[in-house]
Amino acid sequence: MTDQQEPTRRSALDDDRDPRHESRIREWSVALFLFGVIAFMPPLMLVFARPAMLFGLPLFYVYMFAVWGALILLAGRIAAHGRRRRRD
Amino acid sequence: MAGGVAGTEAMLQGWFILTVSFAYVGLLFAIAWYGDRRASEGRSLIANAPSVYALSIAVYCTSWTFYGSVGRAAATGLDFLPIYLGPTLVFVLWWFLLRRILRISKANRITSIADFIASRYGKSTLLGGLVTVIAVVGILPYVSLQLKAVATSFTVLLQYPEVVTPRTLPEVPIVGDLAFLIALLMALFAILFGTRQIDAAEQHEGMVVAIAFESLVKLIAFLAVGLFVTYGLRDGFGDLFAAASRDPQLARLLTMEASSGYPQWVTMTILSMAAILCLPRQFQVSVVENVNPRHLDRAVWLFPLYLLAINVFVLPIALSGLLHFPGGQVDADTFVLTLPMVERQESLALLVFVGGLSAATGMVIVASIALATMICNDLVMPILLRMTWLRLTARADLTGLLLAIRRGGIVMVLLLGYAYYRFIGESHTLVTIGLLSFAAAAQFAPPIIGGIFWRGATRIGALTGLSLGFAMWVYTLLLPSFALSGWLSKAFITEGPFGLEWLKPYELFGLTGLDYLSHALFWTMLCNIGGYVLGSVMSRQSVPEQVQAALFVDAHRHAADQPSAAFWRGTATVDDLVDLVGRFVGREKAKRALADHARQRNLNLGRARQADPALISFAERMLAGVIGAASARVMLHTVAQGEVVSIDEVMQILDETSQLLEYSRQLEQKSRALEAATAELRAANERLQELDRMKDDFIATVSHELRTPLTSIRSFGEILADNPDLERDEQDRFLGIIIRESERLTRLINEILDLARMEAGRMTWEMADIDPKAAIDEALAATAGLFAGADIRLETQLPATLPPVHADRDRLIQVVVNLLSNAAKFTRGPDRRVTVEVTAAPDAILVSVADNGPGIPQAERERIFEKFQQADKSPTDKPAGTGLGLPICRQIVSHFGGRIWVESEPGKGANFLFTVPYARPAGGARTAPDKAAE
Repeated sequence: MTDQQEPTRRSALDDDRDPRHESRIREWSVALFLFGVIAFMPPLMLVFARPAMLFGLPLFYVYMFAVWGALILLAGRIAAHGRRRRRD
Repeated sequence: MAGGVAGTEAMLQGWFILTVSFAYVGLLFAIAWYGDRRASEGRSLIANAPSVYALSIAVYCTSWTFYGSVGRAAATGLDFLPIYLGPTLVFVLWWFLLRRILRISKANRITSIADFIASRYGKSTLLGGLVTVIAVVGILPYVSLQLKAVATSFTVLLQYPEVVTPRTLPEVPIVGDLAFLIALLMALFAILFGTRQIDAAEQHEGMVVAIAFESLVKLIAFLAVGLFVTYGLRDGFGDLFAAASRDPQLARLLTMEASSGYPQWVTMTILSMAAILCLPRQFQVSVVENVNPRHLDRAVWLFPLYLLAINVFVLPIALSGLLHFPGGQVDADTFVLTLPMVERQESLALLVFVGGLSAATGMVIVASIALATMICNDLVMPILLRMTWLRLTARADLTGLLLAIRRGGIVMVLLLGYAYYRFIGESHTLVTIGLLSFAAAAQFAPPIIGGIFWRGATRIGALTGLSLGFAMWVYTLLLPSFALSGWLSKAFITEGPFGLEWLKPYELFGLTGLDYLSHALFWTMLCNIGGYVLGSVMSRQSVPEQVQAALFVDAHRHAADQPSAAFWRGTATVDDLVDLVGRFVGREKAKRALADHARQRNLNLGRARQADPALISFAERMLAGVIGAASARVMLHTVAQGEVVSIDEVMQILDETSQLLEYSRQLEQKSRALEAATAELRAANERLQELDRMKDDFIATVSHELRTPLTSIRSFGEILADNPDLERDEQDRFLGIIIRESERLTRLINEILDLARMEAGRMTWEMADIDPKAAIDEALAATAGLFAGADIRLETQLPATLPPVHADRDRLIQVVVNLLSNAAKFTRGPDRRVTVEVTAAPDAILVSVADNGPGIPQAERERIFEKFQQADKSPTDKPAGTGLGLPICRQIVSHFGGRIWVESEPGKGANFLFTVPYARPAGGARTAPDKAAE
């Protein structure tokens, strides 16, 4: 290992020089995928498929789109980290 | 919007709608033309525009999304969502799948999904052909669906201001003609911007820009309707949902109550995940047309965001439509259009029509280009090339032929799509047809995903899986759809073929309880994956398959565009290569590209006659970009005899797998480490042997050294015993000496223990301010017997008083005694003499013990302070000391903060000197540098 190790200065996701960075992105993307699968698929989804209202909107509708939006936001953040690493 | 009411009759006339449609298509042509021109000028519109890339992927949203989603939402609530959640999930997983497929495709110049699969399994033409057939058969319904949507929306709009469901309308000739016209226009567009020239990159920038533009138009149109319905007709979401939840029928749509069931929810998610990867048009825009893999970073979130945006209003529009048209007199598939119509929003209705048109045309254009490329590269060309009597390989220019085949392919796809729509499509809803195509495309998922992760997958496996999956798709989905549209007897579905109940296509082998889609997905995937895995396990990979498998599975090790060195047996001339490539891309272009490539490697192509392997490899990749990997290999064989194999490939063949390569590399590293360790061990062993020898000597010398005080004690004891009449004072002195010598003996033994402790750094020191003179006197007294017995003259020169020093008294005595006994041992000659001299230097006392022995050679002077080393090594003598004395002295003196050394002139004796620093004045406790502990 010739690479300098400064593990404490930045978070693992931020550390551009860390060779483990790629695998960290990979782990994040898999984690996010699994989160999406669990949130969007039965049985968890069925918990929210009830005739209830939230802020005057159907709970199911709000749940689906909120999770979807969160997923997109996180995916964007992860991709941005990947991009910043490559710019160096 | 309200302004449109006055011009009602004038605006939505048939001719006006047609004019707007053609104007819009004209605009598309203009945009594509501009995009192509910018590209050819080298000022690409998309090279630095990741958003354009993301928008072009949104070709995923066809008229099925635009009109069909609302229709589905009106019937089953949020059931339409899985179609968009699947792609979102795939994009979230982009690092694993898309990025990998993209890298592989760029490195291998993949031109289509058929090319991808064929390349992976040993550039198999058979496989490429099979994929093409499946794609064409599977996608045709989808194309027809777009034409149908355009025709339907046009019909509905024509009825303005009446709102009628299209099913109740009589067949209007012009309707068919519009769909036909659109089909022809799209064919023209695809031919102009998809096959204008043959290019090795197989990218169509103008088309991509136009598609991205269409994506924007359809999104804006749909959002406009959504906002109008939600905020124009109602007071926002809350109001609309409140109204809907009051109606028990509509309230069912807000939960999963009205849905087609959870199995279908899961099924549709899986299908759409496969579709975003495997639909030929998606592969075309997201992989083939990608100009920069980094654009994926943007698409990862922008494309899912697009999907989210275009779906937010689906449910509101559906609910609003159901509230407006209770009783189902209007087809829910047309709500997007009929809602603005019934509210007399002509401009909006027209915008919606244009949005739907853009959704449909975008899909048709990309799909027809993608399919035509596949038909040309993977179906027609391989067949033509194999017909040797055509002498195709000898033709000078094949670009014309290629273009003709592709253009023919585009026209054929669109005409077949139109025919399907005319004869079959009418009876289905949009969603049913779309899902049919999705299920067909999903058949490609196992060979693609398996192909990039599983090295062992074979061509036979892929062929088996694809054939079985496709056959099952035909049986469980396509044939029933024929039955539903009246081409086959309905009894085929209800009673099974020939009345065989267990063969009912929707309940195959008695599998009931699943919706038809989940049922079909289960059987097709069972056959497909089962055949794929079993076939792969039971067959062996050929050499080209192994090579390709390694390239695909280990894509991360083969950086894209890396100039790969190649190994090749056989010959080809540069001219041959230029001729060959020139036939497909034009001679000048080929010459330039090959020369560029050669220049990059510092070769002058003008002088070289024989093409080197790297150049052949480059030519093959260039060809592959035009006609696909399988055909490229066939073509190359005509000029280059023998295989073209890159170094990587050779390595992989040699080692069977690169895992083995990896192991052997690790093994090499380990054996190197082992060699180093062995060398170290050998050195350590030598030192150990040396130490062992020293220890042996040491034992001998230690016993000898122990004898010295014993001798002293014994000799004084004998004097006392032999001379009982000695004077009382003398007796006391001798007895005192005996006691002190015994103590010294004890200390000597301690010394040995001390050395061990010093070595280990665990020595305890009793440091104090002491009078050095008293200590030296004691040492002299202790050795007096020794000198007297050996007849050695001891001369001392001590000052009357000395300043106190900071030291351990016993250790100091030990040092002096050591030096004295050393000196006694080495004095020689008749006049044996040892001189002890103590002087007060400025900051330390200087003690000197000199003998008149043989002296110490220069080389020995430092070595004697090392453990077990002795200056006198005459073989006849017994060892003269422990070899421990001087090392201990040095350790002790160093600990006191002083220095010990020897001065000597050979033949004239040796003079050992050491210093001990004075004690510090009271207040500052002296701390000696703790060297002894080191």
